[in-house]
Amino acid sequence: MVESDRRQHRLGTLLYALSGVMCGIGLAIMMPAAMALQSGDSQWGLTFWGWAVALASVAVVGSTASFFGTKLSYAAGLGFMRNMQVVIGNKVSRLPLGWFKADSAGRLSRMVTQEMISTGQAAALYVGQLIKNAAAAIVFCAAVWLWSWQIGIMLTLSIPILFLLLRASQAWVGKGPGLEDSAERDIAARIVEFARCQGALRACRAGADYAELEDSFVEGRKRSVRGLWWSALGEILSGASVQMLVVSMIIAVSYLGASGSIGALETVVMIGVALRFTTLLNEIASALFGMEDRRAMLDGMDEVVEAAELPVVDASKACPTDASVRMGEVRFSYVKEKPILRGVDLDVPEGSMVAIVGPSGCGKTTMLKLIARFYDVDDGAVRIGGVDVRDMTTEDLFARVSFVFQDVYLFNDTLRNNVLMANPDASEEQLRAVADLAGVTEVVERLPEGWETLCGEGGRSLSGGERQRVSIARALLKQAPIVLLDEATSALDAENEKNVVRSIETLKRGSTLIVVAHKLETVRMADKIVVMDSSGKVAEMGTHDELIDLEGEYKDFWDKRTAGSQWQLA
Amino acid sequence: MLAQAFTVLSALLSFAPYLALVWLGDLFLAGEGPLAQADASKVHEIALLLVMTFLSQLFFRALALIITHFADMKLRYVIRKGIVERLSHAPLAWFSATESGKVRSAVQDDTKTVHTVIAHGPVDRLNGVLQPMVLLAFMLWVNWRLALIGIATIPLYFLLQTLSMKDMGPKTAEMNGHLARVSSTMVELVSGIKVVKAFGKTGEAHRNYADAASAFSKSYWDWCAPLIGLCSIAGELISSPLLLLINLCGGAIVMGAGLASLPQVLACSLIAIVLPTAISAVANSTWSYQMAGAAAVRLCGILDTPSISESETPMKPDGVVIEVSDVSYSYGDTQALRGVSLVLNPGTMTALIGPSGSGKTTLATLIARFDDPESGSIRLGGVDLRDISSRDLYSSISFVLQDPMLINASIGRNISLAKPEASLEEIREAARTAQIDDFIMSLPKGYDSVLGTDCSLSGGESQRVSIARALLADAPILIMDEATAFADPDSELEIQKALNALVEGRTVLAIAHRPNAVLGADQIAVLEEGRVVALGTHTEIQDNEHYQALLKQGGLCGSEEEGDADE
Repeated sequence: MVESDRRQHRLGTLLYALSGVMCGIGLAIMMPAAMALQSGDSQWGLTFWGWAVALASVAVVGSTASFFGTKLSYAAGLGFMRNMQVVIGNKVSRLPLGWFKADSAGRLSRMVTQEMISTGQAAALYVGQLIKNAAAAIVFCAAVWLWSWQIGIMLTLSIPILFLLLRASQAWVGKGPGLEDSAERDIAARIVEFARCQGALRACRAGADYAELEDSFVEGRKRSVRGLWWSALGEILSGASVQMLVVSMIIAVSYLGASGSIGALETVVMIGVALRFTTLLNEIASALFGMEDRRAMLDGMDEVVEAAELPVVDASKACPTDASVRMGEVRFSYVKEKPILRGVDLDVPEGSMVAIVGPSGCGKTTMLKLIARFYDVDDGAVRIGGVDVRDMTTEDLFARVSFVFQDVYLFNDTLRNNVLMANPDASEEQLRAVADLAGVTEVVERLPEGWETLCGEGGRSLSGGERQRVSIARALLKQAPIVLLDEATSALDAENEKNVVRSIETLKRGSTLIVVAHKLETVRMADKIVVMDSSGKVAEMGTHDELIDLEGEYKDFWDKRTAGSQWQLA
Repeated sequence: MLAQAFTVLSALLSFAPYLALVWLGDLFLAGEGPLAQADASKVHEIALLLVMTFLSQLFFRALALIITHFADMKLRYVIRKGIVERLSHAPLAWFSATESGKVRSAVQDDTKTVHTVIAHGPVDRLNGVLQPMVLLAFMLWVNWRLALIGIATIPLYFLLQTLSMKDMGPKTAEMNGHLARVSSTMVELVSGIKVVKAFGKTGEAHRNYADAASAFSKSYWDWCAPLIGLCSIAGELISSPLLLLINLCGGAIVMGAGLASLPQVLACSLIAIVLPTAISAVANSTWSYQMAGAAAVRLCGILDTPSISESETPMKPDGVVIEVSDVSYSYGDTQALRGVSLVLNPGTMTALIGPSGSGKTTLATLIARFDDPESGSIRLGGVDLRDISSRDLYSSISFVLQDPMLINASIGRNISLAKPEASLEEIREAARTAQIDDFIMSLPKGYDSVLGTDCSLSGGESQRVSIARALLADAPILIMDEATAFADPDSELEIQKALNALVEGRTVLAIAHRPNAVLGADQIAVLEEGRVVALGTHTEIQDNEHYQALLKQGGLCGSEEEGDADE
């Protein structure tokens, strides 16, 4: 919560408490007012109409306080929502990639919508209600002492017990959503999957009766039912305890009245007020439950907000001297037992182009990710222009590094904005220039809405090849001194190939280029080729001709790729 | 129904405590001084009665609550299943146009909102209406003058409430639209996180999300603000100090005129305080009706998606010949296919080639009935696809496209998706043919490894799993994308081998990007701007200018460098 919201919330709460106190006093005034009314005399120094005036002032103060209290707490609740949406969004963009799981998208999307509204409303509504009613209950309790010390003792003693019972039932009630939530999360992930894999599911005759989705529904229902029993138990416990308190109070009062230890009129008024007291206690219980309902959601948000980020420095410790990249003795693993890189040394001088090749899973792409600091190395260091990437601010790092990914992701925004996001200040000419180079211009010309075409979620409206071109245009537009390129593997056709080659040539002229290469032609363009082996070490390094002459892993790779590219389906 | 009966019972009981209060009051105030013996025992009786009514009220209420909740769960389950059923008949094109975040929010959140109102609403409403009615009736019975004073502020309260509800429908819908946008941009943000990191402003969410979030806050505020103002004024009208004031003063006047007794005044004042709590429950449910209305509109939107109809009287295809006759199809304004005709004979391979956007993928997916052609027809074994049950259709046709579409389940389950009853040996056999068995067996949990949890597959491994899936499905007709062969250069040879095994003996329609890879096909169909411009074997059409152009382009990068394209 930001400070202004917090202040609003605090003030709102205070006002609620004040209105609760007024509510309690109002109930308490009933007693002397009724006595005065019955007897026609003054009671405790005031006549009935005197009490009526007192009641009127209480009503005015209470209503005013509650009106502004409501306004302030709603504003605070809304501020909380707005703020949390931003905080979570920003946090998501700072979390290390390893944090994300298959269901993260569904989970987070639920968190910033439905759950956010729920918790925001809870903050506004239930907290106020709770404070108000609790204050009223306390004032009422104190007032009872004035009438009858016996009932006073009884209430004062039983309220802590009641509170404990309510807490217990709150915990039970809270079990319900807790049980349901994890199931609902599974459902969310399954539905996203159901939509994404619809084609395959249908082909496998699993469209409507996709067992996993069905299972998640069934499981969700089962859990809800189990959760329901807990909540029902909790509600019954709380209902029963409130009723017990009030009933025993009424019985005690009527016995006291019958035995003559309190006056007849007091007895009647007190029984009446006790009935009103029930409503008060019930409202406290329902506010407690309402808050408990949201607890699991709040916990989920806390978990995201407090998730560990990669440690960042506030200011870069040194400025890179040039655009060289050096990996020294780098070790890294995604999972502890399975090291991916075991002591990799790589030296890429400024302005040179290095191609990395090697078998599947040897850590080629991982090397790029470490340079862009999507993860931190376990051991060794990655340096850019002599400075460890961990000693640079994220801004400084990404000002120097640009990335063309294998899995191209476009946002559901216009084509123009998808390219411009790399450099929002780019001029129209710059945009056209990179578009020409990357082959985006042809795409733009073919589409009826041109640059303003919406790309669809993930870029689904464009073909893989078209997406690839956009991604390259992005990298070109960013004009970073270091470009990491995870080469397109499937997405480019013969014609696009020319665009890529042209783009790489351009990038090569201005930047240090590190490419995870698959195309033979790209490999041949590199100043130096690094061959990784499957154990996560550099096996060979050199120029194309040197490596072919070695007749080692590289020669093997080259022959295999040559054979593969001549494959025939028929 | 049962729940409603219990609610009625519990509501009817709600006046009992006040009745007891009036009785007691009359008893106590009748005599001066200590009560007589008989009266004291009457006090006991009344107290006992009070306890009884409290407890039974609680009991009935709880019972009603439990029953409705169970009904709720069932209904939600049924609605969700209904939507899923419906969606699984939507044309696949619909899925690419609709963000998965939206689908999720419809199936999950909207069903929740709607079901609450349908199943839960009636009982809440009944209680909300009945309880005040019973109390009011009781007040009228006790003393009609006091009753009128007791409800004096309520018309004003309702007036304000109604005022605040005015025009809320469209505003609510708008607010919900913004909310759905937040949902889908968050899905984007997470899925595109790498791009955001590399190109976005550091430490800040992507602009789309940020915009959606602020648009939502704004519309939410617009939605709330009038509600909050009016509702809290309305709320103050029924706050207890004010009501006490009115009722006690009014009561005093009536009493002064000798028309009421003090217990009556007290009882009515107390009821007047409790009454609004019950009424505001109704007001709240009106609120959730608004929300549910908007959710229902969105659900209807989803349910209104054009669906691919399932024939009422399905016919069995006779054989596996596919005849495409004069098929046209368009996406919005873009005409993708214009009068295409083609015959796929059993056991033959047909290759579709053509430049990007020429309609290759569209034609191939229409044969898999991802959508129906606008005009013309596609027949399988002499029967129009529209007259074949989807079960029969997809037993005959399977496809391997560029996206392997693996689900978050075990590898074994992924392979046997089309044939859940397959034995492990059958699954392994398919995996062996797809060149992936060795890899799977090397995983600690083998075929039980759950994707994403126990292992993550590279592109090539995923492709081979999806090829194994198609092998096990063993449909006689295969629609495939030749680019799959180049999905992962690291395991190119393995995928290629797997594909060669897959096409063996089947009727194949291949979307081809590299003419050289399909030179031996039984027929090559060259598409351009949605038309077939050449059709025949390589030798038959090698003089065709369109074909030559494609060949030439493929050869530009040298024999080893044919591009692997995609639509």
